Amino acid sequence: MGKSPKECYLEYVKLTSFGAFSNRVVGPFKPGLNVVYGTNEAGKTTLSQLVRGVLFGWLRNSANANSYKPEVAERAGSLFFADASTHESAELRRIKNSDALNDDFGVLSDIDAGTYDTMFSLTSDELMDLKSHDEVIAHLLTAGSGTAASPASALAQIDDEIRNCLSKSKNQPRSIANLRTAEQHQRDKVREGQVQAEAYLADQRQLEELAFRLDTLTEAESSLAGELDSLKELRSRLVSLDERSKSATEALNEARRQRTEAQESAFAEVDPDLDALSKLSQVQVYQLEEGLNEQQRELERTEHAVSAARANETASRVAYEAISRDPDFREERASAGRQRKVKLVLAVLVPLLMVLASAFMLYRALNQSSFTMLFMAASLLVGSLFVCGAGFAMNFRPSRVEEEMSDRLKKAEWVMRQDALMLEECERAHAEQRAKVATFLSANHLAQAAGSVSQARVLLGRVRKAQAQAEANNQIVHALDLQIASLEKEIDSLAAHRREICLSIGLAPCSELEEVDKIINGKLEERTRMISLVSQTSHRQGQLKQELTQALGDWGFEKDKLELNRLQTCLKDAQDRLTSLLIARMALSQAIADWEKVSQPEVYRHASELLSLMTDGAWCRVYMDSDGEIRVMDAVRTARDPRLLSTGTRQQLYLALRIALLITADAVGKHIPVLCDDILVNFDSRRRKGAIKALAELARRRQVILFTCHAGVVKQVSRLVPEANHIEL
Amino acid sequence: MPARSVTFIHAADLHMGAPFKGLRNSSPEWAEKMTKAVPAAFRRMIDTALEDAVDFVVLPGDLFDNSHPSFRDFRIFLRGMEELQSAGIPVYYCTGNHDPLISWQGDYAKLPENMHRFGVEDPSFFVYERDGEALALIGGRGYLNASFPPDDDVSRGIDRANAQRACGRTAPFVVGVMHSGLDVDPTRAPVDPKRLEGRGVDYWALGHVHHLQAIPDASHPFIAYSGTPQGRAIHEVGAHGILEVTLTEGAPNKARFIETASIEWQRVSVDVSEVSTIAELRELIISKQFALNASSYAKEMIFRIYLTGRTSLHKTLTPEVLEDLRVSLNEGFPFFYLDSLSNETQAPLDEEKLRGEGLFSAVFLDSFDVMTADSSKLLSELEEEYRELGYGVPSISKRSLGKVSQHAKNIVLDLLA
Repeated sequence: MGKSPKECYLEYVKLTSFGAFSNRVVGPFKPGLNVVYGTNEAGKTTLSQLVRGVLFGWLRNSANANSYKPEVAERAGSLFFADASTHESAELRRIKNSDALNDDFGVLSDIDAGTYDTMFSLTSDELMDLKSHDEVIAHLLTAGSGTAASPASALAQIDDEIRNCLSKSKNQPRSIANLRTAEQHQRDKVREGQVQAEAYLADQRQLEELAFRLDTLTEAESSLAGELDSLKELRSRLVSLDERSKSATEALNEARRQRTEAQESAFAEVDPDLDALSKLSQVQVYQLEEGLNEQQRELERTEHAVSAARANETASRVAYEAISRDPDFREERASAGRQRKVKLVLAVLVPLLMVLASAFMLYRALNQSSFTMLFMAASLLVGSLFVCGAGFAMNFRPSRVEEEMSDRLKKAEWVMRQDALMLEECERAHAEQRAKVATFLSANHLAQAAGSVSQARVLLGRVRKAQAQAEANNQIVHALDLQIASLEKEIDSLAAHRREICLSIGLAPCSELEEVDKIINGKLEERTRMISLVSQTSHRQGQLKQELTQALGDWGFEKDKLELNRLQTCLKDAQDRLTSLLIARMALSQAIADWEKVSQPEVYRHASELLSLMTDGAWCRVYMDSDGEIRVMDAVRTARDPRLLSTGTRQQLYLALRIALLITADAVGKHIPVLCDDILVNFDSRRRKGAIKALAELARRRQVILFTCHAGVVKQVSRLVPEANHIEL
Repeated sequence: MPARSVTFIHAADLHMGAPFKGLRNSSPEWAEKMTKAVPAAFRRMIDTALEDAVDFVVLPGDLFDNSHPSFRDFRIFLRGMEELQSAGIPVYYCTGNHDPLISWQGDYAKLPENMHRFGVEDPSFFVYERDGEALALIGGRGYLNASFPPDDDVSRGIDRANAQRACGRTAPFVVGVMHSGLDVDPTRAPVDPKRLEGRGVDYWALGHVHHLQAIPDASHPFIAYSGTPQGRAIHEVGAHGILEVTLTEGAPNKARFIETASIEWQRVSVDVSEVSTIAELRELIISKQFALNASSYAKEMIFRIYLTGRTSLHKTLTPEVLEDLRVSLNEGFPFFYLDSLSNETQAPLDEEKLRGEGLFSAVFLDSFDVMTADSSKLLSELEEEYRELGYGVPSISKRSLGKVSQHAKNIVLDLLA
């Protein structure tokens, strides 16, 4: 929708609120060359900043640059464009950056902020930068391309980056080569990790196997231990068996010896006398003894009887004798007789007396007639009768004493007689008995006793003794036999036991203890070996367990895998970047080639014209040679490197190129004025003339606004370009 | 008689031993967390099965990753299986492309008896019984080696009639177990979902796709991918977990998604057009991270952030600046991890305008268009370049070529501006 450049131009600039200005209008500008004269601080730069701000947006407030924001207001400004033919006017106003601009004339339709900055504002600073040699070519190239950085430098940067991508140097850790190395290294680590994981699995398998083996071994070992225990027990039993066997054998031998002894002694003891007797059984002997006892008793009895009878007889005879011969007795007997006789006399006498007394008394009584006396006389009489009677009675017969004594004597005599009879009898019995005894003895093989019971008894005693001894012997022998038998049995059973034990051990039935010991030692060795195996296995098991427990806590493999993946991602990113760079390089190279073919020649053509104009022909041509280098040709057709030019000439060359580009790029920013901010400040008067002429050339195609603070420049302009528009700030 | 039902866990793509992929950066603590995440998710699966006392567990393939599990992974896996065995829970599994049958032949350990593996040449069937009553017939098929023969249908023969014939029993439920790309990934034993209907199978437990996906929907699925229990790559974003499925006679299937992941991935674009300083940028990123974390179950998140938009910061956001920012953000918050912060902003350029101006940029854009118009020609030219460098030519897909070319254009425009 754009209008032709000649028609539409910036007429007024209104600084509604910007920097130090408030509601200030600058203008009117005309198409073609405009000169704005203002002293320093008058606001030239502010003005050009406002134009840019309205067109492309206010700059953000930043510490580095002046944003021209007034203290108490928002920035606001307007650009008034006019249409030369129709005298229409359009206002381009901006208050906020976010506002949409009302661009009726479409002034912004063919220009972009970046391009504006690179192409449409010329400042003295840029010209100053050309002082440095390195920047010159870049600036010149940029001047010809309309981009902020020259295509060649862009290409160089891309090449640099590509080189970095491919670099193997350690300074470039993210280069493809280095990433590949790191990835390879990591891959190796992961492979190691895999191998390790396999190893751990194998170890796990081994652990399980070991557990099984350990169980088996432990079982075997404990069964061996059991075997050993039982073997040892059997051995000790064998030992004790052997001991017992030995002692039993000794005992047996002793018993046998004793038996033989006993038997021998039994034989030696036999008494020929007692031969027959000794043949008797014990019972018979006993009976015999009893018989003997009986006989003996009888004998003794009879003997006793005899002696008793004798004693009696003797005693009784003696007693009789004693009595009969005893004078005392005789005396006594006589006296007793005499006494009796006395007593008889007395018996008569006394009563007689009494009768006399009584007769007297009677007389008296009769005389006195006393009853008492009578009584007494009577009693006396009675009494005397009595006494007489009694006396007679008592003493008539021989006195007791006399009788007694004669009895005594008779008795004694009788007794004596009896006893003598008895004695006879007893003696006879005794002799009888004696004969009996003798018979008995001889009937019972005791003739040797010669009738003596005691002798017989002694014999019997001997027999008994012999018998007892024989019995004892027999018993001894019997006991010995029993003992022998039991010992033999014991020995047999011990032997059997021993055989059994030997067999159970697996030896020949009559093996010696040494063989058992051999076996035991063998088993001991085996057990020791097994214990050591168990310990080894258990140790290995412990090792494996520890290793595997550690493995469970070790995240190294996982981390390595993660890192590998990360490296692979980075590698892919790097490769993508390289691909992008290669594409960029290809496209940029192609573009540079195209540019060189098409647009560039025109720019250089215009630039050559302008340069010639500016230098009065001293330098007539600027071009790019076949190597892509910029060359400047002087009047005598010498081609030079621009770096060799003087600063002033370089600045002119730069200006020529910039202006040439603005002329060539007629499609860009057709209605936007070119703002030159005091660019002539460093030129001398002659060069200034040339520059003004060049600007005039530009002004034929575009609106140009030149800011200056020098009155001299203003004068020069009005002289050289009479049609120029002058504005004072 | 009450309606019979079975409840089981459907957990696919355990990928034991798989490291996290596609990470650009890592820190030692996060490396630790990441290495523990996959086994932790597996552990959660086992715990869920034990706590909820499910009837059985199906694992449709890729139990192990082909990047070789570590010794610990095997122990953890075996222990989990042994615990299920002690609880009387059988496990039915098939081999997948990452753990095909040939990789199981290494006989790394005796597997507990409750594990039942499906065949590879032909499908095999198992009977699940409870108290002597056959409740479910489970049929499935696995991979012999890493690629499934393309002319063979992985779902062949898995239907009720075959199941009953093979097991000699009938049961109210039939479950199919496969590792298949269905119609989502045509390179891995694909099957048309429609062909899985009408076979008398009540539920198809699938593995291979790493996020939850179900037909007709995840609460009442007929065919389902449970997804992987823990996301492992930047493109596996969002929640991950297992499915607890309940089949009931005469009622629709029910499934409950249980999250088991401890780390969640997120890819976020953050528009920084309004941002003018690095400090502001930092705040913006933090608030985005918190906002996303609030809605997620997994406390720990790994982000990849793409800064987009047109901003004057475009040039300032150099890789070094971004790396510093990334590292400082990671130091600040222990439960977020920023794996990469990339600058996808654009300079405030207008390409159209540039073209219109006819200056060098326009010439460049024109030659760029010409060059990238024919992608095969571009590829061959690239190969030439690579060969000149003496470098092995990487494989570049046509799709990534577009991205890479765009990037190239931006590199040049940035350099020129």
